[in-house]
Amino acid sequence: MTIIRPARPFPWHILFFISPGLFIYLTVSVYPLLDTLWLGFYHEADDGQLSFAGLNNYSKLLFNAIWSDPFWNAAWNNLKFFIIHMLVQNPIALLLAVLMSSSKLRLRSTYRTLIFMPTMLSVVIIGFVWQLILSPIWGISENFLYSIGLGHWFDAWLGKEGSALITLALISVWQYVGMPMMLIYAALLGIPDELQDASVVDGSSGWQTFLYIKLPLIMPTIGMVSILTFVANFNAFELIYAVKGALAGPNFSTDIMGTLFYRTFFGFQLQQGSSTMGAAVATLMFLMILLGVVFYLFLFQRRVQRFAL
Amino acid sequence: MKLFNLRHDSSKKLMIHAVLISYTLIALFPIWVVIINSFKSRKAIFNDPLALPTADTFTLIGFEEVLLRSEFGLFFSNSMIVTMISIFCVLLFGAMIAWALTEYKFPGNLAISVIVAMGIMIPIRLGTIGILELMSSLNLVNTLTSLVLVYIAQGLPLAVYILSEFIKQVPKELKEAARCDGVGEIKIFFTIIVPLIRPSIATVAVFTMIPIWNDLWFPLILAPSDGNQTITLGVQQFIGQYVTDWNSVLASLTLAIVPVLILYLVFSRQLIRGLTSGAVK
Amino acid sequence: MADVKLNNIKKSFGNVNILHGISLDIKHGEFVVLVGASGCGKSTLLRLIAGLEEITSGSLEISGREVNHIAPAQRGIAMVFQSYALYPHMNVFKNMSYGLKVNGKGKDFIKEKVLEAANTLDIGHLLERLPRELSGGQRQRVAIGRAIVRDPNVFLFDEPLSNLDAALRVQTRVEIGKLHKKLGTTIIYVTHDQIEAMTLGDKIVVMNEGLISQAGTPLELYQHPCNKFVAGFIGSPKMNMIPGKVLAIEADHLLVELSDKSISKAYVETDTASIGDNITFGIRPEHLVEGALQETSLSAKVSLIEQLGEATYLYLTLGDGSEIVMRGEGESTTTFSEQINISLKPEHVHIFNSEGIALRRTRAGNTKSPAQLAQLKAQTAEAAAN
Repeated sequence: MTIIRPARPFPWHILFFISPGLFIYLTVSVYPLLDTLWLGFYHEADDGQLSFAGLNNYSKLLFNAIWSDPFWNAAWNNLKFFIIHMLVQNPIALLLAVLMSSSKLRLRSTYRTLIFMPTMLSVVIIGFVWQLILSPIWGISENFLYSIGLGHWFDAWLGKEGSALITLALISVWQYVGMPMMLIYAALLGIPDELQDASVVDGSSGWQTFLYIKLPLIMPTIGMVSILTFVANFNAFELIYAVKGALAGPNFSTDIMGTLFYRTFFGFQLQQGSSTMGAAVATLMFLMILLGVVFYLFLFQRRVQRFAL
Repeated sequence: MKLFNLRHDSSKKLMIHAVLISYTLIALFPIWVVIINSFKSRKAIFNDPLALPTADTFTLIGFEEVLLRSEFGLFFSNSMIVTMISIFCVLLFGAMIAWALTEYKFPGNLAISVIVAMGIMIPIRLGTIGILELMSSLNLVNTLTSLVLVYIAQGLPLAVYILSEFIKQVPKELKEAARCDGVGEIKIFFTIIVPLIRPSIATVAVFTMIPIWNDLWFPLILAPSDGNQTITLGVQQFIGQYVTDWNSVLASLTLAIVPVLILYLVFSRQLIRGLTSGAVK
Repeated sequence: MADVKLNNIKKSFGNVNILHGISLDIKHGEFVVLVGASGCGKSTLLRLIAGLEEITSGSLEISGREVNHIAPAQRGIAMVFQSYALYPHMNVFKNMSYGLKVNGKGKDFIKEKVLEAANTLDIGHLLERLPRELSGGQRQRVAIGRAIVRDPNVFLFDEPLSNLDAALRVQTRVEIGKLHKKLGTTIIYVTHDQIEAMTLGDKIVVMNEGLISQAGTPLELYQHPCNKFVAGFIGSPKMNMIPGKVLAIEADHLLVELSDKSISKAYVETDTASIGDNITFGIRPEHLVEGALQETSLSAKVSLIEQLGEATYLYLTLGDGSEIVMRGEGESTTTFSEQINISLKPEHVHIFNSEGIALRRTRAGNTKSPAQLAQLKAQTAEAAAN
């Protein structure tokens, strides 16, 4: 007599759970990205014919002055854009979060709600709003600065090569400070009250408690905020496009990777767009972001330990 | 000797409030200025930008122009449709993937986890050229469907990550009890897991919604033509056209800002609770 | 001398009054346990003494100096927290030395202090470890070590054993008791566990709803609980409370009738009682015996039996349906639903008047603590020597 053992049924339910989402993700996100990376190795003739070009596109982008000047300009501007965020956005976010988490503070949720408000609005809207506010034609900021005695400081910041990028970065900081603030605030709330009590009993001042106890404990969050800022900055486009257009003027002084990618792909006044060169720019952006993420994962996250609180 | 009497404490509190109020004003001032000036006549906008509209200066001319010359209602409903459908699909598909990856051991589990996790850090925008090719081969260029597909793919990785954290917290006993009762896996997911992770939905919804609602890139590339613009793109195009008509510009900005602010203030409690909840530390 | 004096201390958060006026004298070297149900204000009182909360009114003196407005670190106290509150990112050495470091002490001094404390607590081999690499008991020691290095005059413990498992709790309790003997400093210890309170305290302060119900040595509280709350709180299983009435008042005792109509004597002060008063008759489970061996006897039906080996708890129902518990002998042969006689000595009876206040017992035994007894013996020896 043979015992008929039922074969283990095929796990249809797993397929049911995984497939719809994974299918969309693979076709609309993963495949196009790989396709783009692949396309970077091709050359597109005027008639649309593709031919394999090896690393030609990249050597053009990196070494041929016609291509490499805008590329290095955009990369350098993007780095500046990121550094300004790191130096302004995250310290302000940290300060606000620390103040907001101080115990028994009234109106806490009101502050939180209001300060986070700009983050909810579209970058495009924010760009236009600030364009109006800073416009010398309207003169609202000029009058404001005069009223507090700083009138001589006023300038058409968004229009000057030297200040346009910084101004745009500060606008972006103004809009997005709410997000890191919220994440750091949540991390601070996660520190048990007893730890703070213990340090008070130990005789440490408010500043020492912050420096020696709280700051080390929220370091993982600060690291995460930094890498999120990095990715967002090297992927930014809307603000510059809304305020300065695809040409990122004046004289490309506000050009960053996102706008360069857009122009390369779609073309602009003088130059025709090229999907293969666009793909090469996208690939380099991909590598930059990957570099940042790898740096974060292996150098930062490994050293800064998370502590179960 | 360090004193910490009441006076010292309250002056410290005062300082904290001063800083927070100042920053709140900085955060609100530009929005405020745009909104109040959208209700003023052109002359009043320039003469005294900070004044509230008075009986003399009040006008709705800007709004009339905007509503006449563009299709704000349509843009708004386009944005609504795209955002809502995307969020729904991201939540549903995201929860399903998160459940499968955390609950079942199967070949390919790790590979799928890694591929999905990479999507958190690698922006989908980098694949734009491929996406545009794909959409044109599917004949989806210039449709809202293409936007919805892209936004689902964009939102899934973070949703899977956050929802996994929540699903891991569901007590094992609940699932085991259901299995002992002979409940099928699909039913377990929809009748036990989904209700239990409901609190996390606000968190995921916020993280999914903000970038979708505010996106300019994909509408600009995938659906730029008449009738399919989202509100962000619509405002951008409108202002580009009427850049010198201050009344219209201010009115269009106000129209784009106010509904979002109202929605935000109504749901801010849930949104902020979502943001500060443990899963995203 | 590190005496701690609390003088009519009140605390309110907004409109909510937590403490309604606490006065207490704690002598140098005393181990004082604040005990009470959760929400009674015991932890708040400890935080007031530590300086983590501000006192609303009243005065707090430590070593003869008013410290109401002095920062915690300057009060000469150290605190061990319920969750231990070890800094998770610092190793044991750094945890223990943090307080000294922020107070600007020198490196050598710090090292010497920490090593000394580590030796006392037997945690010298753990100094390089992070808190998460320690067991619950080890964390507890580190938390105590962090308190010791600061050489405080007063130790404050906030429910330090509540996160430990049962076996470790007993062991650590004994260690804390020994540590107190070794260091000889004042300890104020908060717990909700009456066994911890009884075993550790030289003096127990029972708190209820923001007030001190009673303060005294463990035996005092056991022998002379001044009201029903304390009577119910101290002792396990709880004291049995049976409603009753005063039948007659004699010279040195009352005659009371219980709700099941049985009658008993009670040796308590009789001045405030009058005939017909409604009273509560209290008798501890361990003062009941099986059989009609003692003066007062009751008839009861067994509703549940718990055998612990060293004793048997019998859950009994009296004639009128009142439920009581008795602690019988370990080898008790009583069976379920049997009707039995139990009895008690009138000397062991507690009587509470209709407000729940005890009439003081007149035939109770010794109430002195071991420390007090030691002092007495020393005095007698001295007197004899002279």
